Amino acid sequence: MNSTKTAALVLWAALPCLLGFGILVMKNQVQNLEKELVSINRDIQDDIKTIHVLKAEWSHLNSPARLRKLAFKHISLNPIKAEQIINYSALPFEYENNDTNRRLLAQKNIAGYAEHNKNLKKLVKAQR
Amino acid sequence: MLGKYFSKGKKDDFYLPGEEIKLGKNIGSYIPEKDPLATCKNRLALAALGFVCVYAVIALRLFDVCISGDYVARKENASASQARVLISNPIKRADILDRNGVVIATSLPTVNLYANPSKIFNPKKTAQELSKILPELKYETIYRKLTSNSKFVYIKRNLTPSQQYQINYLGVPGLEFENGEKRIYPHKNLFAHILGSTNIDNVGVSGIEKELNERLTQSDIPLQLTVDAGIQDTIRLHLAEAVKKFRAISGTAILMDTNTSEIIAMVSLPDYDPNSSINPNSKALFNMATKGVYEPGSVLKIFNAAMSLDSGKVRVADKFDATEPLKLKYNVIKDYKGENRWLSVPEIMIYSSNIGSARMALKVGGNEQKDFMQKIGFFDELDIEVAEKGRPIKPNGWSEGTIATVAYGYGLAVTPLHVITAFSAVVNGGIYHKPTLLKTAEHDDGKRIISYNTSKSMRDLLRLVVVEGSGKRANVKGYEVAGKTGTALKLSDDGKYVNKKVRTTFVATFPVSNPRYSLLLMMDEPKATDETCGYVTSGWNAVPTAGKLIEDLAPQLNIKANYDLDEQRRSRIIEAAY
Repeated sequence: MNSTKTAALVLWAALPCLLGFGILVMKNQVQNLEKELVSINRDIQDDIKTIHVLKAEWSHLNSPARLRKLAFKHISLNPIKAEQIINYSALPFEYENNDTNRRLLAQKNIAGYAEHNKNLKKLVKAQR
Repeated sequence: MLGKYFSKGKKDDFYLPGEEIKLGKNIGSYIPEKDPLATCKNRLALAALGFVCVYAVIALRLFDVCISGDYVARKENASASQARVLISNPIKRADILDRNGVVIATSLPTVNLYANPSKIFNPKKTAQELSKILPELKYETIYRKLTSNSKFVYIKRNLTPSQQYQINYLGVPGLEFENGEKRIYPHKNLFAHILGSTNIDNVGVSGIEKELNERLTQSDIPLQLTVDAGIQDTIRLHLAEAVKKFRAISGTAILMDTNTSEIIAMVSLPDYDPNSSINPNSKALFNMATKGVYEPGSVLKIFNAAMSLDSGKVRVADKFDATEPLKLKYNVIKDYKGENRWLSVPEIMIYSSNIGSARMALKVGGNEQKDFMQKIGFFDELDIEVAEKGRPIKPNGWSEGTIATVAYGYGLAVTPLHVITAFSAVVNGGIYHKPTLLKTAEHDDGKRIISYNTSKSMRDLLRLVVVEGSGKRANVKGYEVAGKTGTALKLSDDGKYVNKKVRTTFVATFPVSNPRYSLLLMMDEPKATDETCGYVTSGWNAVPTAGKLIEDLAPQLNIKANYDLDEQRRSRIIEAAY
């Protein structure tokens, strides 16, 4: 048999085999990937569902009625009143030119505020 | 054979059968075109070309299918059943959010149990087992379902996970699960009337769920509303307290953005829990704010005054005779607490004079009054995004008597939402916007109903009502409330007005120097208490409730307290004197 003819025959016989094998491998890989895709999709759907449930729960836990109850129970604060908000210019601040005097004034103010806060807390407790 | 094409040098040695004989014969007159060998070669080449083309097409297609991703996408478009790349949201109905993005309606994934009775061998035993797992279902009901002739029957919807597990554990063929979803409202009663509810098949049956059912099912993008959960809760709390305190039949409150007519809160009491499977009674289902049509009473004097001032025929300083009841052809108009003297327009508002209002309207005329009522939308159903909409009841003719009675709020019945929308337009500078519950980026331009200057004088008049008139108890320090009270007598079943059975209303805006919010509060049949000294008028129940409400709401709405400038100046003078 002619050597070129043999070469050609071998080539044409090997090519389909190689191609067939290649396609088999590829098909296998695609199948695996598809399985993976299906499972990932299922996971995503489950996650979306879980997120929905958690969102609903979050909204339920944040409902104003519940927050009000909790705030009343745990924080000693009352709703703010209009009288509590005043302009800066209306603040009863004194001003001292001298440095030491200013420091003394600040100390006095702080002490005064501490006293004031104590009274406020007592008042809140008494109100309840 | 194919080797021939690859070995050019040897082609002379190759002959087809019988060819060498022909060659020998025609050696002298050789015509290349008609050479049979050349013809064969050409045919072979042509055939080979054909095969090459076919294989090229196959190769291209193979490449297209295997490597290029377009194919999958194209096929997916063709058949939606094979959605493999894009995940669809398992929850089909869109969520509803409030203006700050808080979820106020959502759907939860659940599992429904159905049976195929033809596949169940032992219905008796299956029914027994199922009634054990689902104690709320009776054995007989399940047994009847399992022995029916159909091929599909729902046993129970919305199973709990543990119930699903137990039923699955039974391993009965013929019992199947189906993915479903259940609409839930995490805030329970709070938005009952705005949102409405859905039926067992997830189709909206009331409220926004019904009106925007298509939008909610077509896209899973959340729908954002203009309502605010926090504000709504505060308003509901105060209203519920007031309804209880004054033993009213029902109550409603609406808070609206004055400049855009966005509804920030809308409460109607009594309400119901849309999550509950128990059907609420018809009274709880009724949305007073958008469905109920009522004669607004003295509140309509606001629009009467606005119409009169805007027509140019009445000026603020004009005085009207209220010395004695106004006698018309068929009726006599009296004042509730008559001043029995001539009253200016501000005084008519402060003392809420029926006679004065009627005289103002009569001076302006019926046609203009009718046109104005048309302009502020009092003759048409409102275009609002809830399914429950009330159609106004308007008088048949427009006689002198009608002009006079409409002027002080009788003979024309509209919904509370009509009143608050028109009121917002009167105080915001004269521009009417359609009320809305949907938060969108742009708003309609609105239409002008009164001039800017008329709106300004109306604000001053309404402020006077709160400072000096019937709205005194709502004069919250710092928030410049302006408004008008209304106490409308209720019609009894035989068509007569009954004393002491009233519907009280208060509409207000704050802060009046730059109106941002309008509030309407209405109570049906509030009773007198010790605190109200036996009165049932608006000034004793609706107004103080609104006052407390505004005091609580204003800091939540981020409104800066602004004390009366005069008051500030006075205190500064006193300070300077020391």
